[in-house]
Amino acid sequence: ADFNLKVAHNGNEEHPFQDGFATFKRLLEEGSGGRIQVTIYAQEQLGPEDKVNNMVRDGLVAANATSTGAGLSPYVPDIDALNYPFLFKSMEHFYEVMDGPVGQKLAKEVEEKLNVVVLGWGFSGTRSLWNSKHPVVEPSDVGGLKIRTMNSPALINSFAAVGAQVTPLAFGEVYNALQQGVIDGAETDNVDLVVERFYEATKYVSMTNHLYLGAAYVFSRKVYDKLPEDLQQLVIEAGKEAVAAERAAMDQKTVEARSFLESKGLVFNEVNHEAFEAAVKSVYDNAQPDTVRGLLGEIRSQ
Amino acid sequence: MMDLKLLSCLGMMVCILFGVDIYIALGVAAVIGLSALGVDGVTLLAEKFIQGLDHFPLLAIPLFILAGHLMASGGIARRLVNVLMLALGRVPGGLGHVTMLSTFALSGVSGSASADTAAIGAVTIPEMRRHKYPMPFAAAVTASAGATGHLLPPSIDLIIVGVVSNVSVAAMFLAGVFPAIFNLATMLVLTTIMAMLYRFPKVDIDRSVWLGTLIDGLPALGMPVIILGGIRAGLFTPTEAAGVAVLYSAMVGLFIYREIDFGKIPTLMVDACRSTGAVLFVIAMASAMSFYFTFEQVPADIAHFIKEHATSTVSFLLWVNVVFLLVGMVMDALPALIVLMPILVPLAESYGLHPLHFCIIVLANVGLSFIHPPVGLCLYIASAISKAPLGKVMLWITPFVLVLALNIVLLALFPEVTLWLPRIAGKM
Amino acid sequence: MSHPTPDLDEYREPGPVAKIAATLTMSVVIGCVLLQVFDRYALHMSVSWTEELARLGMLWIAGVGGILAAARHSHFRVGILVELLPRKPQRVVDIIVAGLSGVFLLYVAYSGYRYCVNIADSTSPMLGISYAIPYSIIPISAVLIGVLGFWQAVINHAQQEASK
Ligand code: NA
Ligand code: NA
Repeated sequence: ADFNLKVAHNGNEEHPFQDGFATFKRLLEEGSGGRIQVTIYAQEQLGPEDKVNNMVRDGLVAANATSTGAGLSPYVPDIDALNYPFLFKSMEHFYEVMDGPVGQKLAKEVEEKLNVVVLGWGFSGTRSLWNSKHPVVEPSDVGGLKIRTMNSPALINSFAAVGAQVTPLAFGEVYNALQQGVIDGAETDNVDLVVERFYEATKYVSMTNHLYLGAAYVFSRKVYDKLPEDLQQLVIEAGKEAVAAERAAMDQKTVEARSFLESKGLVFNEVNHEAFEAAVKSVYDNAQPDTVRGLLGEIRSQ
Repeated sequence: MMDLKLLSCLGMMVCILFGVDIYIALGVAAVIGLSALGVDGVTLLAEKFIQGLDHFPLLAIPLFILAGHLMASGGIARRLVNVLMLALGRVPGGLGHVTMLSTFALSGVSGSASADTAAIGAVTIPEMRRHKYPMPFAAAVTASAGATGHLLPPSIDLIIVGVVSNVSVAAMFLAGVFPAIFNLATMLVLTTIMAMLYRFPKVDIDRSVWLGTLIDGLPALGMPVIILGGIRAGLFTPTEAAGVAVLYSAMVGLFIYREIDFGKIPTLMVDACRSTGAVLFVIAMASAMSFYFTFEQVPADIAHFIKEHATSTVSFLLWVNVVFLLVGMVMDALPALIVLMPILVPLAESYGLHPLHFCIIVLANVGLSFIHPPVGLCLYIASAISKAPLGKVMLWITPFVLVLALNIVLLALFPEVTLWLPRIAGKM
Repeated sequence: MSHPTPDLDEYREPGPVAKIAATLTMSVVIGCVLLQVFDRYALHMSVSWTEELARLGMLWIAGVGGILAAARHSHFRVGILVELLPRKPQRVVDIIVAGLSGVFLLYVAYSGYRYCVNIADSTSPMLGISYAIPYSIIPISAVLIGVLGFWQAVINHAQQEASK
């Protein structure tokens, strides 16, 4: 092959990211008549997502699926607006925003900062709160629970606002900490609960759906510029299909993960979403800087 | 491309043989590879160096080493050993046994082999020095103990391998117990034999004052109680326990036994910092080299190689062992596992091996890789604490390596050692 | 004091700079870890930056420790082949090794410097500081280790000349 493209993501081989890039690989290899070859590196093999973004910028890695949390927020601080909990009302709301003007504006910022082409916005999972003590329905139920959260100030402040004892902990320490009772629970999407086997050490999943974590499919500008025009076009089209394939896989796998988790004895419950939204109002009131406040308003009004 | 990978390995070996610092040899190998990737890869080395150290659990190494120094200087270590020697004093090489048993007691909870080695070694190695044991032996026995404790639950390695192999972590926890005990038993026997062969000095303990020894040792005994109890009760994670250990040992040394003063503490910090620095530089450069080999898809190639060349269960296991020995020489074994296991576990099943059994065999192999160079963290931590030359430690550790290698063969031949406990517990 | 320190063999008291650097870096990390524990049970402030600061602090422990190890010539090495050589060629090999190591460390320093420049405008999520600040320890330690290695080679050479 003339072009050997390396693409990376941090899910395992059953993660929807893999479905997205498998589609990308198939379309590029077939559509280019063998001129392009794609190698997929799953499971953080090349490093954590923010570090892989550097490699994409340098042209060493062609593409990365990178979340709006740990992956992009170090480079594009405004993107933190997406990580305010209880912001999106539903999956449809989330996709509407990301495919609309807000998504386009943020994609442009990402493209400038990382020197990439954003192929589209995929999805990295709907995060919910789970713990081993009792179901959480009202914000007051969170009181006193020792919870590990993602490293995002907005998220940490929100859980602290509803009375959780937020415990900073490396992701790799979570299983042990759960097992030994250092923490009572954490917040992840269903796929993480399955893949990291956290379900072996917890019980109640409360569908807070507090975070719809987006993910950008970024393609290196340096690599893109080296491709002939017809292949550039192919990359853009394959990228669109990859994102669509990932979204479909995510929908399906979230449902599958839930029934798997239920078969393992985990108990799911709905929460009082309005009450939670009200409880974290102070975090929105204190949102910084103005660009983030602007985005928050725009997203909520959509 | 194959040539470049070979060149990179060769470059490292030549550097090591000619006495270049090991971390530099690893870095040279990484640079040879990375520089040929066709893009501006200069910053990659620094990035991978940083990434290799960017793990919270690694903190346990400097903290446990410092706690150990505080215990040794502050009189805790001596009293702890005195109490233990009331029971083990008559056994030849008793301090070696104390080291192994303590590592096992801790490794059930600490989660990482290198943390165990740092925690126990910093306490027992100075005691072995005080009792005139050969320092290379002290380092060897400490490192070997660390290299098998990772089979005991709830070690992080068991979790990682369980997760990447899609095997229940709870079952992995149980599967590791008897292989670990088996390793321990054989190493205790080996220690006794070596102690008799080389006539290690007898440790004289006055047993008539056992009550006084016990009472004097109470604040010292608080140390393991706090670490083990605190982790077991879920008060803190193993990494945090290392911090608590520093605080407790400083308090006891300063205010109860009063054998150190505040002025002494910076010196101990320098020593802990120095020992840690030597180890962390190896970890950091190994991470750069591991990245290069991963980028070039070496682990995937290896998995396919095994797939093609294994013709029977025995030859499959043989290849797996050979390959892990080689992988353990050029890169950190755990990153390689993430790629290898999802391919190898189904293959193992097709050869009639139970996945749990296979995972434990692989982890036993990983344990060996902790104690052989160029990337052998337990070996390095122990020799850093003992300040014995690495070459001498390698000589003394050879019998332990051979015994552990033989144990892997036995574990492979007798799957029940691994599978019995998870089965009766209904986890498989 | 009745009991010897653990490192009695070739024991040398470290200098004040070493003491300050090691004490500072180790204390920051220990403080973070202890604060993280106490906060969970006593303070309830949800101090969220401890994990991040401890991780970045460890990078400095590595850097400072790497320098200290170089100063005592106690980085790990094996060198089986060299020890088999007669004295004179052994010295030649030693000088070549010191020179090549210096070149490599220069490369590490350059790599670290370039990396810090690249990453200067991205900030850590909890502390909100530029990553260039913690990561600057990489070029700093590489340069100092290189200088120390060169210095030791010079001293070693001078001593051997003097003993002739
Ligand atoms: Na362990
Ligand atoms: Na090794």
